[in-house]
Amino acid sequence: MSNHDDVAVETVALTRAFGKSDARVEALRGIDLKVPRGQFLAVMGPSGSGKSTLLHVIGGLSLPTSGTVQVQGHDLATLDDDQLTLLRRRRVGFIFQSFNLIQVLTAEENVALPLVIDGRKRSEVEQRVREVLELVDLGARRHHLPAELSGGEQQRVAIARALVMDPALVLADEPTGNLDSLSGEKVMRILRRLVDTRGLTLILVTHNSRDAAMADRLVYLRDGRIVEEQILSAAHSSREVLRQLEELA
Amino acid sequence: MTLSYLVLREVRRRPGRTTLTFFGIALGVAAAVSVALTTTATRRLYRDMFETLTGRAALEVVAEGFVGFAAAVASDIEKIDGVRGVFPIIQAPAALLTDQGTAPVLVLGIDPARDREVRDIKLRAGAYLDERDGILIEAPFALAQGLEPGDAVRLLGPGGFMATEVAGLLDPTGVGMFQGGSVVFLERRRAAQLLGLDDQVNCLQLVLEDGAAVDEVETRVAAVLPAGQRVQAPASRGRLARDSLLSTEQGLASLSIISLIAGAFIVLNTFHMNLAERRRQLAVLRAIGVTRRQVMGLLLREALLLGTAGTLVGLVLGVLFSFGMTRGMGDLLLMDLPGLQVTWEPLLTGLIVGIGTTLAATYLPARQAGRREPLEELCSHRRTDVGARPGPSVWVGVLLLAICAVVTTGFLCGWMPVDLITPTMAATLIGFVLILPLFLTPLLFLARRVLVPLFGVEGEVGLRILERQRGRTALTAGVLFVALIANVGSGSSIRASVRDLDEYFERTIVADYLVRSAMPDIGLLSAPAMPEDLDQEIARLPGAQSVEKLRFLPARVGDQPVIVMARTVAPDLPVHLDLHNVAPDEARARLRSGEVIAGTALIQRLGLEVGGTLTLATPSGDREVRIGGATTEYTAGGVILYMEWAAAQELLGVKGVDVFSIGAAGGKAAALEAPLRAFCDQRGLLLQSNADLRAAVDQMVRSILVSDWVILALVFVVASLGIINTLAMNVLEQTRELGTLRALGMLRRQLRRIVLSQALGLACVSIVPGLLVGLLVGYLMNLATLSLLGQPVEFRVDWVLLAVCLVVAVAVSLAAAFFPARRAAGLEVAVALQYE
Repeated sequence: MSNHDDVAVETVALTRAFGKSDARVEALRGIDLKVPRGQFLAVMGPSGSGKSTLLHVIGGLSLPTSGTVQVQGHDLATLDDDQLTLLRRRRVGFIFQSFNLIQVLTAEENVALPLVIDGRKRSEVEQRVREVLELVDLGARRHHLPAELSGGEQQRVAIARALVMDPALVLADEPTGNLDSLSGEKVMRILRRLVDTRGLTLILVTHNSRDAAMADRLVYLRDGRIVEEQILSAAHSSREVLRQLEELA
Repeated sequence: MTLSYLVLREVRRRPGRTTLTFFGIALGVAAAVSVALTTTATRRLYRDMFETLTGRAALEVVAEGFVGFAAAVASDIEKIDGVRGVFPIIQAPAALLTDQGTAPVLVLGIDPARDREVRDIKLRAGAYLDERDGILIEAPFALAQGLEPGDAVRLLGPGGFMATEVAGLLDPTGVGMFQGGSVVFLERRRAAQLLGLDDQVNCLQLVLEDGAAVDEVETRVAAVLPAGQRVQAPASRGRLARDSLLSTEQGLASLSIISLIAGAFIVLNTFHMNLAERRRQLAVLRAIGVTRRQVMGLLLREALLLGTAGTLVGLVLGVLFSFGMTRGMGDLLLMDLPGLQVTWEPLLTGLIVGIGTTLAATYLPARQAGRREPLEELCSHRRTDVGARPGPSVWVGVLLLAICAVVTTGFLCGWMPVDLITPTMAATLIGFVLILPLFLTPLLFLARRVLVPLFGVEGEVGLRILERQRGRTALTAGVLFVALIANVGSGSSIRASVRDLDEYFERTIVADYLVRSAMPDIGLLSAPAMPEDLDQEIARLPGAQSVEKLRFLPARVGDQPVIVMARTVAPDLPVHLDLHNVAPDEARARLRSGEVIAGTALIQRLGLEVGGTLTLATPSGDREVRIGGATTEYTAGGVILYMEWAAAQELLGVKGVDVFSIGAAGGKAAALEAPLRAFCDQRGLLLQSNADLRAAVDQMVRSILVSDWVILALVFVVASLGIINTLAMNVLEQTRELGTLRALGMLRRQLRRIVLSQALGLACVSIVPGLLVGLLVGYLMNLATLSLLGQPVEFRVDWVLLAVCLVVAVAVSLAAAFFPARRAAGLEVAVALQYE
């Protein structure tokens, strides 16, 4: 059994299948994975390899077909729908490729949403929102609707929203996939800084080797299995890391 | 594969929305068709009632007031070119007294030797009148009365009681079918004796030569008739009933149109939603070479498919509804309406209106679809609302309302025909819905003030979604808005009219007891008359203080058929009428001096004035009669003249009494009942206490109110379909956002609350203007009664009705949110996040 203080996420023999009989697709086929607290883990792999499914199962958005998932010591299989929801609300932050901001709410309101849902006091909501918007350098754009923001800005709003509940775990599904390289780099720098300064555990699913190169550790999925795992040491030069990743891909 | 195939695929892909739209159309058409069928059935009843009596006669000669006249003129008429034969007859209501009780019948006094030339009657049992003295009756009617040939019966008419026997039974065909078979054939002289007509007749039936032009013969016959007699088509006698029932028919027609409008707005909204959802698909079609016209045709074909299917089902539902509505109308008229005849006119109208409305409602969205630029649609990821800003339709609405305001003023001033009330009401409703977007911002602000404190963040999100989809929100709220206007407007008017009717009865029906031979036909007010001298016998009963005689006589003022209500007016008793601008004592004095008190509706319709005169057609020619006063009158739709008994006898030759109105001496009303009942039982008469009469009137009023309220409820049902449609679409469109909210930690029940708050937001947006405009419409409808009743029904704000409508609107909205809310709460988060 893992020590809860050290391990943020642990999966054992995790499988996830969709459909039945002939149409059955096994997206995950026995994933054993342990992510220590404060680690930045990058998950790479070709399309259909199961990266996003793994992220959804870890985040409690989708239930495993078999095996176990523990998030900060909680076995997700033992939680009912409301408990899973509360876990997501308070301990997990999500960042999506297509931002998934609520279009009818301003940047500030989008960020405040998890706090409001959780019934926090207005003063606390205002303070936290201000803090996280400053953190992602969006204080000046707080009153804008998502449609009025650039892609990079929208993704920074999404990051702020993921951080506003001060979660120990952030799950990011290709956060730079819809951004230009400059915006993407800015987003990745923010994420890296958060891991370094706040002790956040970040699981990043990406196709982008440059993004993955900023992680502490990399797992490579193919056909629902982990086929490669690598610690990306700070001692390696970034060029060397990139070369290794491209070889993997 | 053709584009039509795509249409079918689209319809099948959205079974829920297709079903809701389909029923929106079907219910609207059903309401319109059922009202049209019921109205047609009622009008047909009165037209056929007289046509069945006439057999082959194309014209008839009658005296004014349908009183008796000498048949001598028949010989002159027979000489006229085009007339094959003249058949003097007597037609009048009488009472048939059997062991089973009293039945109202129509007595037809004929010449047995000649009558087969004008009427086809087929003897089933017994003997014809030239072989055996007695009466002929229709076989099933005889069976219902327990009569067989040879059985003794009595008849009661103004000439007194007549003992006779059943000579023969007729097959239920032709004339035998009159009013469910309640017709009695009698030798003409015997009929004259029964009806107190001496040697007179009251109708000459004219059979024309084959190919003779009826209009020309009518003109020639009119030229030889003495003053006080006229020639007419037999069916024209039904016009009085049509006039009497005008307000009832107008009310039902207005309500059915409202249902149809609500259905049309659902169609419009649905196709706007389809368009929003299929932007990309339509853009792809345009990109691969489909023309603008083809895109437009694609949507119109879809509308045609839905419109045709919905209309066909609506026609079937309309026929089914009309059975119940016809029964209600039958209860109102106190007669069994003949089996509902489904004629092609209402069905064809329903078909055209149903499909036409659907296509008209789809035209604008279809045109918009055709005009879109494909590249813009393909590249745009942002979903935008169709019709987000108030467009030209708002100004169309403003224009429509301005025109309706002018027309409504026309009704109030009496220079617009009342037939335009229904289309004006429809146009007013459409106008109000079209201008609703102008007020959406303040209404949503109001909704926010109510809902955010109740629903918190879920309420805020729900309202933001409504705000974003302004066009859709306005159209959906518009359907509920129509339902509220209809219910508050028509409901206020109906309840005010019922209240007015109650007060009218309170003031005018003060007799302790009424004695009559049978209940009258409400449309024509014809009833079997009783001998006049019965009043002396009643007056001698212990406890009786006053006995008034009443008789309803058909007459004419100019071309307008009217009812003359002849009544005795005692010099020392008050006149119980709902008088205007004349004191009861003065009215009594004027009546006794030979003046008439006219119904306000008649005064309004003919532009008469109190103190002026009117020209009454009498058996001795036209006579000027002074109008001594005006009275609110619901009987015969207010087309009525009150006349003192002696004056009516002099002018119209009144014979017989329809109703004896009896007042008991102080405190002896209960004591009078027993001797009065014994008196009536002995003679086969009908005794009604004041309470009995009130109950009978209540029953009649209730029978038609049921139809009104059912149609009004139907409008709410249609509105709920619209709300379900919109909320389901909102949930579908926001699938990804709802998934995100779940991912962020929103509970399933919180998503449910978002949908519920949207439903309540729609209710809030509709309720405030709906109640206000509903009150305005109710006020105008009450004013419009001026043109129907001759005076407006007093308007009062009906707080109970407002409260009920408010609760129903909220309940309908919440109920409509049930399935969309369940769908939202049941979303699989991971799947929802992938939703495109």
